Amino acid sequence: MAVDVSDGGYVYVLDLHGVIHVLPDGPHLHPKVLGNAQPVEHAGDLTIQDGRISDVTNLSGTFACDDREGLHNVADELRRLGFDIEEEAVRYFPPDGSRPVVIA
Amino acid sequence: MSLEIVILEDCIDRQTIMTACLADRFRHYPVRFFEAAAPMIAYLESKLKTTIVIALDHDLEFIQDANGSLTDPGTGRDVANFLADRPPTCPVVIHSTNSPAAVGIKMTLDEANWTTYRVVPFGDLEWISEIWIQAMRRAIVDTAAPEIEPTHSN
Repeated sequence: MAVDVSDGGYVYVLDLHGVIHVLPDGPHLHPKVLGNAQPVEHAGDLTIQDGRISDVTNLSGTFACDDREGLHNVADELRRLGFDIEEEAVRYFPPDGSRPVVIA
Repeated sequence: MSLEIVILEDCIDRQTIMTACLADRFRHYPVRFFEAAAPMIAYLESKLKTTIVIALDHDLEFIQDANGSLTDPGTGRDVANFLADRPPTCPVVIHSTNSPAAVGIKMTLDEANWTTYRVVPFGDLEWISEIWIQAMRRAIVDTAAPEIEPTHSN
């Protein structure tokens, strides 16, 4: 993933080597980001608005990425890549189905 | 406390695609469909606090029982009127091809300070996976609030 990604919604996965891969958002895309049933470190979706990440979550119906530390790691990697993440954009969905929380 | 998604939609084909789209992203939240306004209102009387988002169609087909009798299912406006009499608790996504009715629902809820999103269906069912699910995602993601740090007292 590079900082010249255009505005819009995306699904992402963080692979086992720490690399973030994205596809423009659409139905049932998480298994297709890496393909070949490859395992992932973390997965979710994000929105880029005016060149900034306005939200990044752990939402995925395919990969049950329920650890908030994994979402923090994704946000850290996005910042390291040069993305500007808006305040309160990192939103964690707990596995118990309770209300999502802003974690950064 | 587990939350759920509550939807007024009587078209089985729409329900099927909505269910698949929601499962693709919101596996944490059970989805409950209603095909008439009155049972949905009765349900929400006690479940509003555990509803993370509501989706409303407007026009519903009359319901035929085993004897062939028809029952008026009401409309999405009935649910909107019920909600408007209460403090806002969750976002509402309106999806109806009946544009004047959809505008009416939105105005009713906006005036009562509910957060609303309007989706204008197009084509057959493709609007669900193309724009409805995006509106539902936006509505749900924006319910996130900062965590409240536990307070400690001596």
